[in-house]
Amino acid sequence: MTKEMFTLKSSDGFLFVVDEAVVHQSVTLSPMVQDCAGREYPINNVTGKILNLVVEYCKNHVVVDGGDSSSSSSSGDALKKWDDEFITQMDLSTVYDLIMAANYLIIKGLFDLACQRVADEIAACKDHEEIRATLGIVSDYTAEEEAEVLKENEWAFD
Amino acid sequence: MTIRSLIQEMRSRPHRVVHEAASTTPASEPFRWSELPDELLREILIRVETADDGDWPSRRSVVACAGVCRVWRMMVKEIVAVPELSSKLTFPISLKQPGPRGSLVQCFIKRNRNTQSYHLYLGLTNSLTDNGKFLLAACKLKRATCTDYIISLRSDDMSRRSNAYLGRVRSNFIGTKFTVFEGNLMPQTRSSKMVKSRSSNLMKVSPRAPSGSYPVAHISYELNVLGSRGPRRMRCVMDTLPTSLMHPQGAAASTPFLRSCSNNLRDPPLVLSNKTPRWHEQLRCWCLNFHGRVTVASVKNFQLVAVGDRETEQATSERIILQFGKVGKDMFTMDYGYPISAFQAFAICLSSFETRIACE
Repeated sequence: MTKEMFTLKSSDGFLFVVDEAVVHQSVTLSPMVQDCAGREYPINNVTGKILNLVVEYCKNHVVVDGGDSSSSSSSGDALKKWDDEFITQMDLSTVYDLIMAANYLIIKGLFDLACQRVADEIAACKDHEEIRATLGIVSDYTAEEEAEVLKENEWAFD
Repeated sequence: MTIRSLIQEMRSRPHRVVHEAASTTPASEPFRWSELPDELLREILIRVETADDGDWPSRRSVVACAGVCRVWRMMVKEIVAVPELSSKLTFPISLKQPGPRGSLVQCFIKRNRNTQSYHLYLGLTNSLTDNGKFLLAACKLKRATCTDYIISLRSDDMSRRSNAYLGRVRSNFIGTKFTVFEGNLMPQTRSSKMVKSRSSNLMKVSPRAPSGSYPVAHISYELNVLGSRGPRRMRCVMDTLPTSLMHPQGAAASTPFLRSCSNNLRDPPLVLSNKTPRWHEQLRCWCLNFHGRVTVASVKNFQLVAVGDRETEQATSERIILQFGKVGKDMFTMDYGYPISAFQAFAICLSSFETRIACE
């Protein structure tokens, strides 16, 4: 039985041809299997660069997820290693886009992976100033609130 | 165009330096993370909060997140459960919130006789040799007619005017009665009060405390019928904790802040009393089961339970609310649970250091 192929089109016009197993990993795209074979399916809020990464993730996860549920622990470990390398090499700006894409497409594994990467990055920061600098967030505290923050942090870092 | 005019034209052009396109580092796109939708930010912050299991120093990350900006602060304060539910201490405010119901938070106190100061730490392991997480510091101030123990969030700042000041324990002249005062002495200005109410609305689990200093507990020590040969009797009236908190449905966290419930006859303040040790005939000493948390006999050691009947002072339950005892030369354990807070527990223990009842 030949596999049915589907064409996904990114917001900037890139085309990705993927099979049914990849499409099913996205709760948002899953229904398109019924009526989009042979047609381009536009994904208007994901660029080609990010969609490429999403497709890469999904292709890798088909191999294990599509198999029997009692996959051996070694293949589970290998997949985890692949996930770690996949997400770690990305800069935070790309991770941001990936979180938005995985949220829109509802791909739970990818969403968890990307959020955890940011959580790890935050946990590695020395203090709130470093978190601000890493993520480019500006403080909007009043002077009194900033004093409260300082008090909390002095105590926490004592 | 002649060569000369070409050269002249080139010389007249401003010298342009071409920068390489900046790589897509986070710093080059400064505001994206500020625009992350709230529900996605929440997912990230939940992962930060659950990663450390309440341990220190990793818990600092949660405090750091609460310091980033207003949206982050609001979200973190929503995500972090109160100690009553989670058994975790996260912010300074956690020290004024009731402890967990089903277990005791294990802490230890180090005494420094030279500086007459006491430091409270959260125990991080079962061993008493870990450094612990610093919680509170207290120092003794002897006055003409009484003694004060000042309690602060910072060991190097014992000023009553500082924003690290949390309260004090004042003893009477002979050291038999103590009053615990909470709050700081600086009256709040109108504008700061308004700002505070906006921000404290975001902290749904933290009731807005009145400004100024006010009593939260009264502690008294007496000799028992055997005089100084027997263990002393302790009685703590918790002015801001109604007795109804001890019922299974009572919830300290959701109770609106009560300045004092001493006037409420239907729901009087909770009274704690020390569990009576039993006389051990063979060992010839008074014994309490501290479950391994106290290893050195001392008249200061005690376990507090709630009492209901004012006349007979019968314990309403055997559940230990506060346990304190010696484990080394200047080392003591302090274990506390619902409905008292770390601050109240520490204050009660300080009175045990100060009182001279039955100390022969």
